[in-house]
Parts: sequence; structure tokens; C-alpha cells
Amino acid sequence: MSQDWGYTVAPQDGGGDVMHALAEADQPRHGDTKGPADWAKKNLFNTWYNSIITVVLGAIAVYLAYRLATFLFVTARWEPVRENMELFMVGLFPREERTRLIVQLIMFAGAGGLLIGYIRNRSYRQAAAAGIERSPTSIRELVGVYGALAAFFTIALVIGARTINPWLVALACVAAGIAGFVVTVRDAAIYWRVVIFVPFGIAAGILARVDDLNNGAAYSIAAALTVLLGLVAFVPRPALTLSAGLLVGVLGFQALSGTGGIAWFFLAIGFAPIVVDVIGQLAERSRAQSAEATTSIVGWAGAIVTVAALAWRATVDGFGVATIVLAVLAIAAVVDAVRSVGDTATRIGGFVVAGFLGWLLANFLDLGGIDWSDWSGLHLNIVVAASSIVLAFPIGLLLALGRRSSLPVLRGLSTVYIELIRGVPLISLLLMGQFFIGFFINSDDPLSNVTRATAAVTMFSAAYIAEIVRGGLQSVAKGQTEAGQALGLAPAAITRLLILPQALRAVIPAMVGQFISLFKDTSLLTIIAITEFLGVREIIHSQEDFRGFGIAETLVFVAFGFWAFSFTMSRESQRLERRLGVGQR
Amino acid sequence: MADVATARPPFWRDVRVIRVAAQVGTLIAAGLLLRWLFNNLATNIDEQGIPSPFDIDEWRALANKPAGFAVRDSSFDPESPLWKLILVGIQNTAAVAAVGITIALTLGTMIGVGRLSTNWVVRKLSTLYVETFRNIPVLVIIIFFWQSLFTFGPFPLFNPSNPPGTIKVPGSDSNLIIFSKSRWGFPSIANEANGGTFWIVMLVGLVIAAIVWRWRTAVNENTGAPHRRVLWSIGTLIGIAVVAFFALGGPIRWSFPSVGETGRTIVGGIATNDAYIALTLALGIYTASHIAEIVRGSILAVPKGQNEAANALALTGFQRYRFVVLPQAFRIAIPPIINQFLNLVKNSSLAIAVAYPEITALVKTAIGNGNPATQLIVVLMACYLLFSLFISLVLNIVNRRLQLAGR
Repeated sequence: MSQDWGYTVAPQDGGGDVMHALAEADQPRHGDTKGPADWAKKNLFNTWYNSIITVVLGAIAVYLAYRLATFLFVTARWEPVRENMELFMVGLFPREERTRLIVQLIMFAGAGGLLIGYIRNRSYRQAAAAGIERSPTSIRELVGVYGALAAFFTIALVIGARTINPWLVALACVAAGIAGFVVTVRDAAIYWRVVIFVPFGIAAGILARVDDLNNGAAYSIAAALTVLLGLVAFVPRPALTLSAGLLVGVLGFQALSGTGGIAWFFLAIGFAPIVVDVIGQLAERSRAQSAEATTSIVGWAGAIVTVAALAWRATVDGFGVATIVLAVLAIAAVVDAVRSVGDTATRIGGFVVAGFLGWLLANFLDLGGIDWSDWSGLHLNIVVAASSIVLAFPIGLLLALGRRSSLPVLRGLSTVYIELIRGVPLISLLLMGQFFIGFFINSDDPLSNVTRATAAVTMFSAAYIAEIVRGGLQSVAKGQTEAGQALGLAPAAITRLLILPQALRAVIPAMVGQFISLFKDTSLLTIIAITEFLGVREIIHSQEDFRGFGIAETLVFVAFGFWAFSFTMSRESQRLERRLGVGQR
Repeated sequence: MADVATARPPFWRDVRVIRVAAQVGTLIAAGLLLRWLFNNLATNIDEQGIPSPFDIDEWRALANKPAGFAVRDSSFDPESPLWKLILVGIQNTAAVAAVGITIALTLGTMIGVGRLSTNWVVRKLSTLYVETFRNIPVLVIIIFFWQSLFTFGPFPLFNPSNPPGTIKVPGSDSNLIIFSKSRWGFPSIANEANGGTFWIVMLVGLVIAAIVWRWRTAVNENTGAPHRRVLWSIGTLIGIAVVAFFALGGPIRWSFPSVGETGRTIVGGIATNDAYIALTLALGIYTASHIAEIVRGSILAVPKGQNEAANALALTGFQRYRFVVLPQAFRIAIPPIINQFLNLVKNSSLAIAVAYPEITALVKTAIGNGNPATQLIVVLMACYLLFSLFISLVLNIVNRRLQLAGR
């Protein structure tokens, strides 16, 4: 019935139609402009009551704007903010180690530039393949999206920078970002591609001055980056670019954090795109060679590599978690190699190699750093939000698939978890993390406060991500599944190849929305005595000079910081929604 | 060839076997994981000498243990058991939720409609409101209201030497509002003799009003005469109230707040404190920005054809909204607005930051006083789960009643 009338009711949980309507309404509209008098008559004084409303509300608005302006520019005492800008940004990060942060900033800017350029390049190529002109992004659009964030950082620099150095760092970041972008965005001339080496060279040079990091490691990072970027610049393969971007980011992160033991894991993730790419090609080639179903050489190689890794782990540290995981992988690889063409064996072997490479690199660089319980300020908000969403995404994905599963046990367990978590406030989970999450784990050294908080936030956001992904899964038409079944695909293959790509594409804007609320929620860490962006205020107002002084000013600054980030992300998600055409296809 | 049809696949490819095996495997894995976690919990708690959460007697002992601290602006006795403390917390959470939801819904609807106004000023101001409050963490808003209104705000202190400010009822000596940095008083309705009877009569009156509502609807459906059911029902209710009031000899009266003899308390009326006002206001204003977007989206989600049809029927702008657009938008808006209500309830746990004694803050204080954290946090979570379940149950019933038939 509803279909005949052409309108639908929002789904129980999400209100998808509401979001869709909002996205449509936010598109720029062009009214017919005939002149200011006409416009005023139409928009301000079209009826008698509208005239009254205009005058009254206009007067109130002008008065409030006046009061706000007087506060901001005349009466406000910005000294607490001005004196403590560094505290707001990085909190209690050890002062003598702050060069690490500079390196991290420059590396992240460069990695961001590389990835954005890569995405842009791909969309240009896709547009060219489809034979359409891709409309360039206008400056106005960019300002609308990123203006708030740029304003925040500019204001922070203007207020807080007492020397030229912060400006130089900002300049270096912008340069690194632009350089990374330039290298990947167009198939540019060779002399442009050399540009990227400059900011990374600077970053490596700064890193070499960090006290407790041996110079060898700094120079190795510089050398590795140079080789990598050289490859990216001259061998334009997308997977290579992705890997390079990720590795730059991972190294930037690793140069700082104290997670030395699992450095190899981060690095292996950085290698993942290129490994997947290479394996894909190898598998393709082997399939082309062996027309009949015999195992290809790469398949055997994958199985052998996995078994070798198992043997090596078993001799090195005996019976542990790594050995069990490897044993399972090895059995799977051997079974696959014996029974079929060996694609799975190839993949498993590839990831084992990536893990090994990461391990080698981590050992070689010997990265140690500042334990992240020492991190604070805005820096910590960003890191906690980003790492929780990255950790929560796979969990949420599995939960969503579990909740949609036809197996009652899986469905029940996922539903219970999701509803339980969604029914309680984040603060109760944080309290749980603070008081007794440590009891659940039999560990000798107690987990740091930040780690426990991140675990709680991850548990929390996994449930919300699961609901978002479930919405995406439901939005994929049933015909897609049926088409897959008609092709004789296995259920897992239908989900992986047909459903998930479409579902995940549809939920990107909602995921950004979840990230925004997660970022805002990191302000709750202040309640469990972690000095994040909001909590820095307590330190400031316990200083001798600022006790009970400038309370509103610091709060306004914090609010503006959160606002700038959230507003920028929500604008970006609206833009993404328009780009992706969610709900329009 | 007949073999193909009858041949069963090997058991590891048999869907039936796989389904059972997968579920059994998941159960075993989940069971092992939980066992491991809870074993660790039990051992660790044992080592620390904390009362075990797996012992029912410990729970009973905990529930009956004296709380040991007083609750702000409450008659709670520090010697009362912990379960009474939890009840006080639930009551305070409910007080925040009820008023906060009312503020959020009213303000949110106004601003959501305002964003679609033809008036440029209204439109822009509404947009400004939404984009500002939606993008600031609610905790920041709560602290802002609390500190800028009260801690460092313009209001007078409340102690014997610095009396609070008052606003009098015009033409009389009683206080309409008592305001200060810490305590606020508002008028309320107090019962005299026969007060209980009056409220029972009013309850019956409500039922009668509902019957009148149905009767007018039926009249409208049968004869086509205008139903005017709102006027009729309210008129009935007011009539009953007036008759009952005089018949029972003035069973209720206004109770106005006044400063108590010690100069530190408020007598009469409803007394609240700064934390409650800041928290409720901030939650209401924050949630309103989300509800405004839902309202706007729902109105926009009503398809254009409906508007065009209304225009083709020559309905006026008001009629178009009242009879075509809003009823449909309302139905679209209900589920996401329910979600916002739940969020508001959950966000009320941030009262911890302004020391308002709702359940989370009380539980945290109790833990700080040396009570076992595991049990108390489990109780806390259970309370929120019940709260969420209750609200979603009630509103889902409303939702089901209001959805169009056939959906």
C-alpha cells in the first residue's frame, strides 16, 4: 500500500528517511533574485505577523550579537587560554619530547595528502572511464566545509603562539599535505614528484633530534620513507599509494606511542593494501595458468610459508596465542592447497609474510616512545576517538552480521550485546572500566587509565556501529541476494562480494556521524580523571594565576574547539552523502 | 544419473550440519570466553578481599548496609540502607528526565518548524541554534550553564547574612520565585483537607472527558457536524474541576516558597537547586537541537505530491499543514524522537560533573565510600536498562497506535 502512495515510514531505529530528506534539503538552492527590496518583502515582511516576528527577533538577535561581541573582544580575559595553549593542545605530554609531536603532525599531514590525492585521482579516472566531466571542487565549497577547522587552528595560533615555531610547524604541515596531494592527484611531471621528499626529509631531520630515539632509527625511517615515496611517485599503483599513506601514518604514530610490543601489528596493517594487491595479481596469474583445478605454485608457496612460520614461532616461544593462531592458519592453508586451486592458501601466506615484514621492520627500527597514559589534551581526544572507531568497526561489523544471521544462537548473542550496551550510558561503562575492567583480565601489570577508557569506548561504539551497519545491510535490495543465489554463490560469498560493498558504501555518512558523536563523547573522559581537552581546564584553574579567573573564557575556547571539529566533520559527511548519492540510486 | 539427486554431500558441506556446528561452536567459544573472564574476576576479587558478586548473601548485605552519607537537598537519612539510596537516585533521574524531555520536545519542535519558516530571520536563527548546540559535547554545555549561571553567575548567595533574591506575586506578599546561586523555589499546588478526594474526582473527570472526546468524534462521523472535541473535552474537565473545588470546600491551594527560619532552606512550594536547573536546561537545549533536525527532516520527508494534492483541493496553508503534512510527519518522527528521549535519559548521567545527586553520581559516591564497585555498577546498568526499556515500551505502544493501518 505504502509503495503505491510513494512514501515510506522511517525504519524503527534509524529514521533513514529523515536523514535523506535532510540531505536533500541541504543542497544549495538558487532562488530567483530580483533585488533587495523584493527579497526583503518576500522573506521578511510577507505577512503582518511575519513583520512583527522579524522586527522582534531581529532586535533580540542584534542585541545578543552585540553582547557576544563585547564579551569576545572587550570584556573577556583570554590570558588563561593564551598562556596555556600548549596545554590545551597536547596536555601533559613530556615537554622535552614534544619534537615527536611535530614529526607526527607533519607525517600525518603528508599521509593525509597522499590518501586524499589518491582518492581524488581515482575518482578522476573513474569519471574519465565513464566519459563524464568531474566537476572540480570549488573554493567556496572547501571553505564551507573546512573553514571552521581552519579558523580554530588559526585562532589558536594567533592567540597562543609566542614564538615563530608553531607557525613554522603549521606551515610544514600544510606543505607536507599539499606535497602528498600533488604527488598522487595527477599524473604530474617528474619534477613535481620530488617535492614530497622535502617535508618528509624535514620530518626525519627533526626526528633525529629526539633524545631517546636512536639516530639510526630516525635515519632508517627517513630512508624507508624515501624509498617508499620514490616507488609511489614513479610506480603509480593505487595499492602502493594506500600502503605508503598508511605506513607513514603508522610510523608517525609509532614514533610516539609506547606500544612497542605490538608495533609489528600496526606495521603489518600498513603493508596490508599492497599485500592484498600483490596476492590478487598472483592468484589471477596462477588461475590463468592452471585451467584445470590443480593447485598453483603460489598456493603451495603460501601453504609452505605458513607452515614454516608456524614451525619458527613454535621453536621460538613454544605454545602461545600466536602459535595457536598460526597453527589454525597453517591447517587451513594446507587443506586449501591440497583440495583446490589454492587462492586461500595464497592469501594466508601473503598475510603471514606481511606480518613477518612488520615484525622485522619493528625489530629493526626498535621503536619505543611515550606511553600513552602520558598523553593528554586535544591530542588525546583525537587519538582515543580514532583508535576506538578503528577497533570498534570490525567488532560492529561482525555484530551486525550476527544480528542478521539466520542462526538463532548467533542472532541472540549479538542482539543481547547490542541492546545491553545501547541501553546504558557511556559513563557507566567508563566507570566499569575504571573500577573493574582490570579484574576481567589476568595481567600482571595493570592497564593504564587511558587504555581502559579506550576499551570501554570501543565496547560502546561497537554496538552503535553494529546498528548502523545493520541499517546498511537492510537497505540492500533483496534482489541482490537472489541474484547471487541464482549465480550459485555460497552465502558467505554473497555477503562478502554483493551485500557488504553496497551496504558499507551506504553507511559512510552515518559512520561519520557516529565518529562525530564519539569525538564529542571523549569529553566524558574528564569525569574519570583523564586530562583530555575539557579536563585541561582543571589544571589551568588550579594554577596560581588563574584560580577562579577566566572560567567562562576557557570553556568557550573548549566549546569552540569541539564545535570546529564536529561541524567540519558533519559538513564533510553531508558532502560525502551528496557525492555518494545515498538513497538516490 | 539418479545418483546425483539422491547423493548427499559430504558432511562438512552439508548445510544442516554446518548450521548446527556453527551454533554449537559459537556457544562453546562464548561460554569459554565468559568462563575465563568470570574466573579471572572471581580470583582477582578474592585476592583483593572484595565481597564476591557471585554470592547472594553478599548482595543482601550490601543492599542493607547503611549508605553513610547525606544526599544534597533531600531528606535522605545517612543511616538508611543502600537500596533506599538507589531509589533516591532513580527519583532524581526521573525528575531530570521528565522536565528535560518536555523542554527538549517543545523547543525542538518550535525550532524544527522555524527552520522551514518563510521568514528569513527565523530560518537563520533556527539554523544557528541547531548548528551550534548539535556540535558541542553535552558535557561542555552542562558545565557552561552551571558555571556561567550559578558558580560565577549573577545570582545572590543563599545564607542568613546574604538573603536570596525574590520575585513577588504582583499585588501580594508571597514569593513567585526565590532565586540564588544554590537554591531556587517555585510555587506549587498543595493539598488541604479533602485533597485526596479532589484528585480522585479529577481522575474520574479525565475519563469523562475522554468519553466526551469519543462522543464528539462519533457525532462528527455520523452527522458531519464540526466535532470541536478539544473544546468540548477541556470544557468538561474545567467544569468538573470548578464544581469539585467548590463542593469540597477548597481542597487545594497554591503553595508559595518562602525562606525558612534558619535562612538556609526554602519552605513551601517546590525547591530545586542550581545543579538540577543547569543539568535540565542544558540537556533540554542540547536534545532540542537534535529533535529540531528530526522534526524538519520529517516534514521534508512528506512527499511533494501530498502538498500538491492539498493545494489542488484548495486547502489554505494552515489547513495543508494541520490536516495533510503534520499528521504524516508526526508518524515519521516518532521512532527517532523516542531515540532522542532515551539519549536524554542516558545523558542525565553526566550530572556527575555538576554534583546533582542522580543515580550515577550517587553510585559513584557510594563506591568512593568503599562499597564494592562490581555490584553497584551492575545495579546502575540494570537501572538504566529498565529505564530505557520502560520508555521505549510506552512510546512503542503510542507509535503502534498512531501508525496508519496496513503498515
